[in-house]
Amino acid sequence: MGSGIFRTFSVAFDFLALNTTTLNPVVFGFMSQWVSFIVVVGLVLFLSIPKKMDGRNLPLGFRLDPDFGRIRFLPKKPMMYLIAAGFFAGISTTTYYFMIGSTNASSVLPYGQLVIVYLLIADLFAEKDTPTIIEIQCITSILLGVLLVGVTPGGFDLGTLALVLIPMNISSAFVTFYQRKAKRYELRSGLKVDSLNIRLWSLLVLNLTFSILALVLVPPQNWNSMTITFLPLLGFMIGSAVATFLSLVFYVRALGRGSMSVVNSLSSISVVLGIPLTLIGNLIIPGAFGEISADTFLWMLRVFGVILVVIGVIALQAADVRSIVTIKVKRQTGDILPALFDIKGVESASAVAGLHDYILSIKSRSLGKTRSNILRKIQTIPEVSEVETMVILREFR
Amino acid sequence: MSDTVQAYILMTVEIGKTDEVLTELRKIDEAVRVSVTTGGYDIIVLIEVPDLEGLYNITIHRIHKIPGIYETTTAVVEKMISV
Repeated sequence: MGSGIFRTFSVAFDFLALNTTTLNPVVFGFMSQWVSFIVVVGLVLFLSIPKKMDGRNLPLGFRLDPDFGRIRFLPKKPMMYLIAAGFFAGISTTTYYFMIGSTNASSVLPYGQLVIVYLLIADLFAEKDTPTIIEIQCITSILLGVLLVGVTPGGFDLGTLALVLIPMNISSAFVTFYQRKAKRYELRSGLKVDSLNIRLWSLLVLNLTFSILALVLVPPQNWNSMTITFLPLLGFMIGSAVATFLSLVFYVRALGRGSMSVVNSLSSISVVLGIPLTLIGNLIIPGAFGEISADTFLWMLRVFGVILVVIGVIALQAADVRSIVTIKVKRQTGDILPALFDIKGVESASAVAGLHDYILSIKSRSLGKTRSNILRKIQTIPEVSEVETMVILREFR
Repeated sequence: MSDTVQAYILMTVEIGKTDEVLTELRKIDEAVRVSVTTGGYDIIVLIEVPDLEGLYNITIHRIHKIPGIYETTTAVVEKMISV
C-alpha cells in the first residue's frame, strides 16, 4: 500500500507543479526527469555506503535488495535489456507528460493500470493460449473502467484515450517485459541484477529518449521559460522524484514479503486515491490538481470506472493458482536448473539435497493452464524421471 | 548476494491438526513461506537461516517439537534461481 500511496504523491507533485505555472508540461517533464535522475544517483550512491551488518560489510541498499552491491556497469545482455526498457519508458513518459497537461489526477492513475491488459494479451499470444473466463472478465472490467474514467462533459476524450491505449501503455508493457528479463539475468552463480541498478540505468536511457522526443515535439518558444521556472518548481520536482523512488522501494520490499499478486493488488490503491486527491486537493488549492467538472453524474461514472479497474486488477491477481512441484531426474543427469527456471510460470527453481532433486514454485492462471503451460513442458525435459505436483491451498509469508 | 542457507521442509500432519501446526509454524521468523498443499505432503515450509547450525536448531529444537506433525523431510537448497 505504501508503494501505491507514494505513486499517488508522485503524480500529485506533478499536477501541483503544472497547475501553479503556465509552463509546457513536456518542458516541465524534461526538467523533472533530469532532477529525478540526479536524485536517484544521489540515493543509490548513499545506499552504496558500506555498513557492518550481521558481522559483514554490506551496503546500506542490501536491506532493500540483497543483490545490490554498488552502482555498476552491467554486462552487455542485461544492459541491452535496460536500454530497451529505458527507450520504451521514454515513450511512455513523454505520453504521460503530454496527457497530464489536459486531464486531472483522478484519470491519470487508473490509465496506468491498462498495461496489465496488454501484458496479459501478450502472454496469451506468446503462449498461443486461450484466455480463461476470469482473464476475459478482468480484461473487460479494466478496459470498461478506463473508458468510464476518461469521460468528459462532451463525451469521450478520444485524443487522451488514443494516447493511453497506444503509445503509453503499449510502451509500458515493453518496459515491464525488458525489466523482467534484466531482473532474471544471473550475473554469476546466485547473484542477479539488482533493482536499484535497473532503476538507475533504465532511468538514464528514459531521460535521453524523452529529451530527444521533447526537443522534436515541443516548439522552441516553449523552452524560453525553463530557466525562470526551474527554481520555483525545484521543490515539486524533488518531491516527485523522492516519491517515485520510495514507491519503487516499497514495491520491491513488499515483493520480498508477499506474493506479486498481493503486492500488485494492494498497490492499485493509487487508482482509488486519485479521486479524493483531486477533489480534496482542489478544495484546498483551487485548480491545483486539474480542471474538475461540477457534474455529479460525470463523477459517478468516474467512480464506477475506478471501481471496475480496481476489481479487474485484484480479481486477476487473486485468480492465480500456485503449486509446488518436486522432480527427480534420471541417473547421470547434468544440471537442468536453468532449463526448469526458463519455463514460463516458474517463480523459483531450487536444486536440493535429499529425496528430491529439484523443487519448483510455479504460478498459473488456472489448474488447466498449470498442466498445459508448465507441467507438460517439465515432462518434455528428457532428463526428468518423476514429477509430483502439490497445489497450494493457502500460503503464508 | 545473500549467504544464507535455505531449506524446504516437507511435512505430513496428523488428521485434524493442520491449523495448530500452522499456528506454531507461523511463529518461526525463519519460516519465509508456509504453504498448505494437496498431494503427498500436507505443509511445505521454506526456511532461511544463516548456516547449517541454524538449520539444525530450527528443525530439531523448534519444528520437531510441534505437536501434530507426523513426519518431516528436509531438502537443503543447493542453488535457487528465482524471479
